[in-house]
Amino acid sequence: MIAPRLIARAILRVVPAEHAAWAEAMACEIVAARDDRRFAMGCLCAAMGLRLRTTGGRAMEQVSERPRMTAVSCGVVAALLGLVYLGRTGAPATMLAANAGAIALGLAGVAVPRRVLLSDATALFTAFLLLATALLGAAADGAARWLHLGVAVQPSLVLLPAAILAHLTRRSALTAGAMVVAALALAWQPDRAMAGALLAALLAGGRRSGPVPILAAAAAFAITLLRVDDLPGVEWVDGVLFSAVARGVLPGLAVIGGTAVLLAPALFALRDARADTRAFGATWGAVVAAAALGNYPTPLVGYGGSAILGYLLAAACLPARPAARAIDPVPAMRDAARDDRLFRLA
Amino acid sequence: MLAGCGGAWRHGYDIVRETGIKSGTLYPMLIRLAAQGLLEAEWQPPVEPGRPPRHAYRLTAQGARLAAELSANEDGAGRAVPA
Repeated sequence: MIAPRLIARAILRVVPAEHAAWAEAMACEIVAARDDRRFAMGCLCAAMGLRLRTTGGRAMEQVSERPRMTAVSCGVVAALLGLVYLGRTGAPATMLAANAGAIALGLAGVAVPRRVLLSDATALFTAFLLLATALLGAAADGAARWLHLGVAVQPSLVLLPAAILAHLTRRSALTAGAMVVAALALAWQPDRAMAGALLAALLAGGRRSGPVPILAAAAAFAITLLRVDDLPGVEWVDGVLFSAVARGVLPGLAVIGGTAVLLAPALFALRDARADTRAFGATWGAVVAAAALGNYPTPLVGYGGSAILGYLLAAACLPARPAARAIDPVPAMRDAARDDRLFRLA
Repeated sequence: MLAGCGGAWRHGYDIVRETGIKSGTLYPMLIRLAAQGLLEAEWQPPVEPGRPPRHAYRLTAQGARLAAELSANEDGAGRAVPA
């Protein structure tokens, strides 16, 4: 059996520094209790509980109080898991290179100052490009969603998530107009997945989104539902969530794990009062839902640099708040008294 | 128990013995009460030489008020239940 005094010493080591007073209180009480082993074991359980709660709490604080860092990290990890999936399933090397290049480009985009990303210009440029894509973009089976810039780029995936955050931050007539034009363009292309993502994000943004952009997004989404969208799935791009599991354990785990990681900021956003983090979560939640329900690109974990770029750019638009540490109101003893007490425990 | 001792300081081990509550339950509870400002704690010097000092607890004025309210509510609920 472990001697109560040994347990008392263990408690002093286990309990995190911010609760040092409580560790010392339990240790001293064990000695005062004339070595009651049951009391000592209970205190050790309490000490271990404190350690677990503090460690878990710190991890949660880190991720929920630093939305930008969390989202960027999740995006990179998910995209790397996507590379594992592509590599293990024999995807062409050009696909792996394109995804790796998109990660590098996206990380370079993270270095762009947030005020630049969250400007009227971002929203206006996005609206213009989506409209240009609908009118002049590369079409496939009746859908015009891509621009050929050496590789096929889907502007709605690259820019719309960041443009939505720019609108929620600026809330100007210009950004509201840009959201309406973007909705119109998505209905025109048509792009059911991104129209749904726009609507989900604006609804998650609540009052900050404004009624006109929400109505325009709802109308656009309704139009895309009515229009025929029977684009066939492309291997390594669409339907990845289901096909990966059939291709083996590791590809399946990489895709499921990667999807969970990319959605993790969305889950943290549920407990966040900020409109921008909620909208970020809603955007990518909707894109993943669309990929699960239809032939739409599976973001980050499948082939497609547009989603990787779009995710990292949108992540760069999130705030970088420092974590606040709670302080235990019960003080430890004065140094001299503390030394005396620990001497008596020895 | 802390509410019923008239503002006197109590030690953790005494609370465990008198209430039957386990020490693994008591200390997390004390920590939560202290964090909410309902409990105050102080270090008391040892009564016998060679023993360590002890941490003692009592309810703050706010904690005593809350305990009184909870006790009154319990009594009221008790009376409302038909015999």
